[in-house]
Amino acid sequence: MRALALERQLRDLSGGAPIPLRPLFATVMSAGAIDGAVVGSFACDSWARARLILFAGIKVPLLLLATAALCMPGFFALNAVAGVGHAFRRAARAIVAGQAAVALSLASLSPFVLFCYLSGVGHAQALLVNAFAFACASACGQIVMHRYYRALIAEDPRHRRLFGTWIVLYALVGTQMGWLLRPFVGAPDAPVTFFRNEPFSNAYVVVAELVVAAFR
Amino acid sequence: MLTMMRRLDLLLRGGEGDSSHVSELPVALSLKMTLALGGIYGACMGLFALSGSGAIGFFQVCASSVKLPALFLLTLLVAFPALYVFSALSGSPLRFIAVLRLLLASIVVMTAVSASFAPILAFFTLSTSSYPFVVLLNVVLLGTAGIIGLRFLRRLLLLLLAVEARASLGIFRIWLVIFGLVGAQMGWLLRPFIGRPGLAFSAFRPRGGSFFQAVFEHFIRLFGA
Repeated sequence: MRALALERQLRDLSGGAPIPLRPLFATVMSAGAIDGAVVGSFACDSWARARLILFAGIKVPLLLLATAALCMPGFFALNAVAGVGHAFRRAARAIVAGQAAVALSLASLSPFVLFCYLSGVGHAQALLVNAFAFACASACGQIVMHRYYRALIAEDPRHRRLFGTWIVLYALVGTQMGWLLRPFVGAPDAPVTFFRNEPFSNAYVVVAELVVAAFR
Repeated sequence: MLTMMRRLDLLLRGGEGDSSHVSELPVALSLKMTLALGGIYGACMGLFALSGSGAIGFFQVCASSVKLPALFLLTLLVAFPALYVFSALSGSPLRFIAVLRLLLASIVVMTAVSASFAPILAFFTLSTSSYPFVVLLNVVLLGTAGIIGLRFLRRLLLLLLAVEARASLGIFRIWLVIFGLVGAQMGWLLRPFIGRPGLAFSAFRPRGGSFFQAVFEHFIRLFGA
């Protein structure tokens, strides 16, 4: 029964059909939790490490939902300023549909991630595998979101630019959110914690410092 | 047996632009065909160990004829959810069972092509004593079979997908990469298939290393020092 509901949801998402928000949120939570549990299972050789399965299972849906929630007010303001505030409800629905597609794609790639873990990859490779899975899932999410946006763009071309703005906004905030919520994979020698025991830092500053250090 | 042969013949011929021969292919029949055809190639792979002493060769032939179909089916198990979700999200009308049948049909094509290479493999395996050569020959033969099977899958997907969904074939390309990677590494995890001369028979080898590293090393050993 549940499998049929999932199949119907996948069809609706791919066709850009209107779906009530509640099942979409349920999908983000459950599919995100499945992926998180797999992501956190890296180098799981003790009960202490097993806690990371639970932590990451909570953090992946949190990453998706919190990023979208943080960007939403700004995006609403942009829509209103662009003069298409009246269609914001539909735009928001497209965003949630995109999030559900990201979560579903992540969950569908989790056997691949688990397989990579089981074949004995190191920590750096595990990070790469997960980055690859996230990139694929984001592409799927964008495709689905664009399906929902197509009707909006047909009505008013200004939505095309707003769609691009959302992608940039989401990537900007999502990167920092992912950085704040780490560890997801968890270095094998680091203690298992929900958040890293260090002061808040900025992902972009860290990357900039790495680049500067590489060329110095 | 005769039905199986007829179905296989139809599958390999591609049904002249019609996809019903795949969409109506029972899952159980595909599994049987994979076990039989993969078993033939696997047995020929294990022949190399016959030159070893005692019963090693016999055990290796039996183990490889089970492990080769398992290699294809386990790869399918790992990569299937991603293909199903990717194809559904990109707007393909294929249902869960249809995607499963399609993938199993491609696996049957892969094992059929590899089984057709089995006599060549057996000939080289029995007439050469160079272990790196046999390993690389297997990589080439199985790689060819894999590519042919995936091209078959791509052609059928193009036939079955709605015109608007064809734009999302980029996602399918990513899936192809995943399938190839998983298949190669799965082969590494399930080894030994051929049996390194001088080593006792074992069902599996300890974990460690990777397929790509090993292929590179064999390549160097064959052409290098």
